[in-house]
Amino acid sequence: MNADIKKLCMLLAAAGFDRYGAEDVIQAIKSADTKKILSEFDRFNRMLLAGGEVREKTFNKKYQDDYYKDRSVAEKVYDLLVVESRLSAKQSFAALEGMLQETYPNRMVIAPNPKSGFTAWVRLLSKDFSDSELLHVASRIRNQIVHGLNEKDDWVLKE
Amino acid sequence: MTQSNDVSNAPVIAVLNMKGGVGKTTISAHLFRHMLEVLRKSILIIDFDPQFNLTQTLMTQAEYQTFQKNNKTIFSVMEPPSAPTLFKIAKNLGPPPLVSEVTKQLRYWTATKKTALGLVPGGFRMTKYTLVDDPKSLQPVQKRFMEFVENARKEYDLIVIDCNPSSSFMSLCALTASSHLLIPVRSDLYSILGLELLDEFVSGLPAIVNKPKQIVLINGGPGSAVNAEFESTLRANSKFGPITLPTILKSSTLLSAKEGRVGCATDKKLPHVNALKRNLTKIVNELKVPLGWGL
Repeated sequence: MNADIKKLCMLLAAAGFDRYGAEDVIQAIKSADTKKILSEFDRFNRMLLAGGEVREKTFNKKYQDDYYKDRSVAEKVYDLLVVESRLSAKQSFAALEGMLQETYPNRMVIAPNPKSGFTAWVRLLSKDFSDSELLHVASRIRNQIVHGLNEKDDWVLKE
Repeated sequence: MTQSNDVSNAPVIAVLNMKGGVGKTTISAHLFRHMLEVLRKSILIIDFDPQFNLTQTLMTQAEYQTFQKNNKTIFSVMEPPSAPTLFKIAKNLGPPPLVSEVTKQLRYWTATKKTALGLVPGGFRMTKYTLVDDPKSLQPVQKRFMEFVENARKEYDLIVIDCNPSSSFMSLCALTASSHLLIPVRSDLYSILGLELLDEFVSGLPAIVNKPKQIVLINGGPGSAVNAEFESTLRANSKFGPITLPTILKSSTLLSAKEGRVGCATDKKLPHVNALKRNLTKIVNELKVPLGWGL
């Protein structure tokens, strides 16, 4: 394997690209114009030499690929409780711990550690609960807060 | 490749929802094709829907016609090819055909040339089993199908049965043979209620002694993104929430049927195909636990 290609692979891995992302980059390079790539390279180099940081607006563009990017389960649980249910971090800890104990009474729930943050605690919970179970419990809390305990006047899934 | 021995413990997944148009065929074709890529498991897909859209997705018309002419379809698994009329079941059915006899090899292992991904093509003749109303005469047909699936389990790591959305004899056969039930749901009320009907159907059938383990997969497309209200209703449900996979199958035009595009989307170099592969990989990895393939 060519040493430069090895370096490129190392850079892509270090930048957090997965195999599919790396393949996209390789395909894009293959089909792009060498002069245009080098002109971009020169531009970034000039920015770095001037002491500036390299930031690209393209990261904010809505590519179709962004649509496929999933939030982690911890982030989804955070969204359900903090964003959609408007609970404070302290309330979210208490609500999730309480609902996990109520839903799975025979299983141990790791005590919350507010210092390490909410999503860090949810990631710890993933050792004892599946992602589906965590989303189930968080969705129950979310629905109780957003809709209350009143039954909807509609066709719904039976409990 | 991990298997092919005499111990028939390979999981059998029926892909089914009582509601039509939820993406059963899309999932059977593309998700399991990608599973082969990611997990290196040998997979046999059985097209068990009389509309045989799965077959149309994976085989060209010319290939199918050859298979049909030589009676290499799912119908030959149920009854000998010489079966009499549309309303009568053949007598003395005998054993089912060999799995290899009715399988279209879609992918093979380069080292052994054995089938890595196989398809038992469907056929319109299967509608017969929605018309015959004598349960007794259908028993030998079911037995023959069960024997075929048992034989397939010895040759493959996973068997997938793409079912039609009905509470018919065919669904009964598929559910009796299955260890798992993969239920795709779309972001609509009927789809979610179809999930409940299916659960009632499975629970209420005494013939299904070992109830298949249910797995729910939210199918996001085609169309707009999954409705947040729908998702939280499903996930909050005490029965279906904990068995719903965390990752949603994202909507993609790559997965929709297109004229002149036979085969799996992930086998083609198309724009955004790697993003689709990434999405499918997550789902495949989430399926490992319920299928008993560990972490």
